[in-house]
Amino acid sequence: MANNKLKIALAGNPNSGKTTLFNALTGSEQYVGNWPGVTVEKKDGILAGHKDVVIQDLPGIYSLSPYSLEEKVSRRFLVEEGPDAILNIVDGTNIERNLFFSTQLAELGLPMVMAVNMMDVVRKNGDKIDFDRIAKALRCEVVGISALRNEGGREAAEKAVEMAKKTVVERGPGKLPDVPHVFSGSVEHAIAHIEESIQGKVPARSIRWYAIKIFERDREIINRLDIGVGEMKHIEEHIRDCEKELGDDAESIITNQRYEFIDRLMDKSLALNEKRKGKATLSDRIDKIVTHRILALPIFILSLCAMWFLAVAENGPGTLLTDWANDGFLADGWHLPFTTHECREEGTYKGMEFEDAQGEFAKAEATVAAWEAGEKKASIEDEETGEVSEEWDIDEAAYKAAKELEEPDPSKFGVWVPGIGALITGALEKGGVGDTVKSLVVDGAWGGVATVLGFVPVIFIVFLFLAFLEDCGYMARVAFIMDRLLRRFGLSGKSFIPMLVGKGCGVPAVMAARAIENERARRMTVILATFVPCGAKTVIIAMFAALFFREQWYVAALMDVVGIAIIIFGGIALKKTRFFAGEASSFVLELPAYHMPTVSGIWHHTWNRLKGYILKAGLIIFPACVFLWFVMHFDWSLNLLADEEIEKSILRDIGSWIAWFFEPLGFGSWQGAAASVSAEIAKEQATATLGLVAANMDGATTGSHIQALFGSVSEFPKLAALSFMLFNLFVPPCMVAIAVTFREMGSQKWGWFAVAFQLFVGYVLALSAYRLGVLFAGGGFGVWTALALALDAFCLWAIFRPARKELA
Amino acid sequence: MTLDAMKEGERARIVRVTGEEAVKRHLGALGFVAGTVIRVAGASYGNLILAVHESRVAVNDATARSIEVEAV
Amino acid sequence: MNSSSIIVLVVVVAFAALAVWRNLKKGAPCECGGACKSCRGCSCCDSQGGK
Repeated sequence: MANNKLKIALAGNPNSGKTTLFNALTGSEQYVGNWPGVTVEKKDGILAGHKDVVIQDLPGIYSLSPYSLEEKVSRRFLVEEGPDAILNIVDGTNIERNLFFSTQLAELGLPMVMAVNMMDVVRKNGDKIDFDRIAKALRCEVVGISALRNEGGREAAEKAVEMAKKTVVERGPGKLPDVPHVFSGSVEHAIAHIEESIQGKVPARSIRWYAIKIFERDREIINRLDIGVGEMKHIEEHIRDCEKELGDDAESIITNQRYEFIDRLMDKSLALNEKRKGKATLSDRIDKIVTHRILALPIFILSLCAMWFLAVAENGPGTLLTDWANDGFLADGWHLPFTTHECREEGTYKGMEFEDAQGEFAKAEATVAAWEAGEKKASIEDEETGEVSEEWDIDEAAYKAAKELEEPDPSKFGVWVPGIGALITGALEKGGVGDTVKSLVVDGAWGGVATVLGFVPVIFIVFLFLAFLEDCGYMARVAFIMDRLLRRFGLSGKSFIPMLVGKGCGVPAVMAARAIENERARRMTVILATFVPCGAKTVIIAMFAALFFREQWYVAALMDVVGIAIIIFGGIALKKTRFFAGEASSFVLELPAYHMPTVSGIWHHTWNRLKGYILKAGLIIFPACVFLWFVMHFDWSLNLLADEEIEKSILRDIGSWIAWFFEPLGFGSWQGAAASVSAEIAKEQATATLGLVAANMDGATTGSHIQALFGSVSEFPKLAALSFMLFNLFVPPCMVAIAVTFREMGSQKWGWFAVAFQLFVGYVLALSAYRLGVLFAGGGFGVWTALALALDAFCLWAIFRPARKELA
Repeated sequence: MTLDAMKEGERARIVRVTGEEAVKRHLGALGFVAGTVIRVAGASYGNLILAVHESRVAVNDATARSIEVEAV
Repeated sequence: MNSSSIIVLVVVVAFAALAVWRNLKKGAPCECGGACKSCRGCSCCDSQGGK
């Protein structure tokens, strides 16, 4: 942003309509939320119609004290960068609480316009607010607006611009702004003394704000200002005198007197409609049901089930869209709905629907392949799961007939739209590109990107649903309902939202933990949230469930249960360590009034989250796939290898080097190692890599290759497969999520702690499952079995040992 | 008495807020200061929904115990 | 290898390198979709090192 532009900071409480106003003023894309503190980043936008004015959207906060990350960010910005004016948005239906923040903003000495929002509701309620009186008391301009109805916001912003310009002209050096004095005599006296001693050390216009902060003994401010020891002692004496006189600590004095000032001001300038006083609102009545001691949990579970149905239920909208994306849009192509019909051309396919014709052709292909391999039986397997769905006898006649059959032309069955995969393949073939490079583009790069994009529908629905719950105000209630339960594991009620988001993708889940103020609970949430199997991990589960655990139908659901169990027991164990010990965390959360979310609000909200996920496909998966293709198709002397020569590849060697690490887990071969490592790029990559590296195993299909692979590494292939699955689901998440974990942890040390903990959990889980499984299956007792038992004993001790004595 | 002793629908005046500095500060910003009259708008297993000024604030039992009140 | 294969290969590798270079320079994409300027200036970056 150029420096000659006028900067207007938009500041206000959460849920005051700040983001709505920001969108209306700038027309920019921004996310409107109802989850308190949802706008965590500062956003800039050009004021529509004023190319030289930038509106800066600050996070919604309650105060300028350093309570949360948001408050720290906002105040650092306001005090240090100093916008040219402040546009303070205030919720007119809750003006007393909102003015608490306004009084602090006014003390910064910047030109300020207060926009009293929701005036439509205030009028409807029959309340009256005296703007002039408030303007005089706080030394700012006051205007009434309704952001939702797009009334008055523009005028307020233009007034701020006008004030900023005027101040630049009027305020010469040395001329101090007029700021409100809200405190009692003795406090004002102490503040005046402090102002004296910090003169010249702070920006002149904000000196009063600094002085008040020093009076409050705000560490961050005091440490940054270079105040002499003697001077500080002098200041401390003044503060002590005030505390003695008023019988309270300095910070409480300031807070209380601010509210007293507001009370006095409101007595004169706010006339509430008498009829409305103390009456339960519609929100209160909804809360009676939604947070009811018995009904709360069933209602919450019901809403989760609704999300579940929408996203992943068979034949639900999520699955239908996923199928369309995976098989149609991203792959070969799809028929326009309502245009499909039976084949009308003569031949084998006449009278068939497209799907049946495809099935017919697949059977013919299988027949040809089996006959040519010298077999007497042919079979068809499901492409994704490797499940054998059909088997039949073949003879020469069948072989000949099958050989003659041509692939059904989809355009004969309806209006056919080619998919992206088909378009790429077509273009490459037309350009005469060689087979190897074609495999790089189609199987390597595009294949990987398409896997990620294929999950967009499910994740879109999960995020859309969450956006709705957040925007209507229900999410805050969920945090309230869940707090009682989660507090036992050292988490906060607000930890539940990251875990919900984590079902879609771990990256936004880790970021959503930011809303938790308690540092211990926040760190623990970041560590634990990614144990919820995300969309990508679901692919691993689906494949293994189908390949190895068809008789154990519960295995797939069990993985979700294991994830939840890790969160519960991990939480209990972590809470008992010295890093997380402490008194029960407090829980304070404003519950915004329920309201119908706007379509555009939900859309921005969902899109902003989804965008990151889609970018991941292009920026991470794509280069990673190209790299994988390279190490799979080249040897160390950089000779190009054919698909069958994978045994000579670089990947094989890399896999062999680290295979020892996976030996105790039962899949200590280069293939298992390579697949596990590539899973760190993106979890779904595990299945794709496994398919590629197992290509030389016995069997006719990818599914049987993988089954053969696990058969070759262990006497107990099922247990090895279980171990592989557990390991890849519960070790640290993909590298994007790890990077975000490091960032959110705020330090390298904590980042490594999180990764080490996750690696430990995943490794112990896989080791125990395999070694103890082998023991029960009669495979004998060995060193690794002993290690597994020892580690399990350690885990049990960590979970059930008595809690540390709480430090006073 | 402290806030956790109050029942749904009851009103009380805050006398003092104790406990962790940061939480106290946050409660203060939300309007929980000495002299303010609040109402218990909802209660569920010790966790409370409080009406303070015109907003609703949810607190858990640990936080409720840190707020001293008197009946009005 | 024919010329069109080489062109495609070069293009793919160049794009991959570009993506890697961007990630190294600006960090991996995050929830905000990179809208907050590679997360410098948003609170997630401010939390780095601080506290």
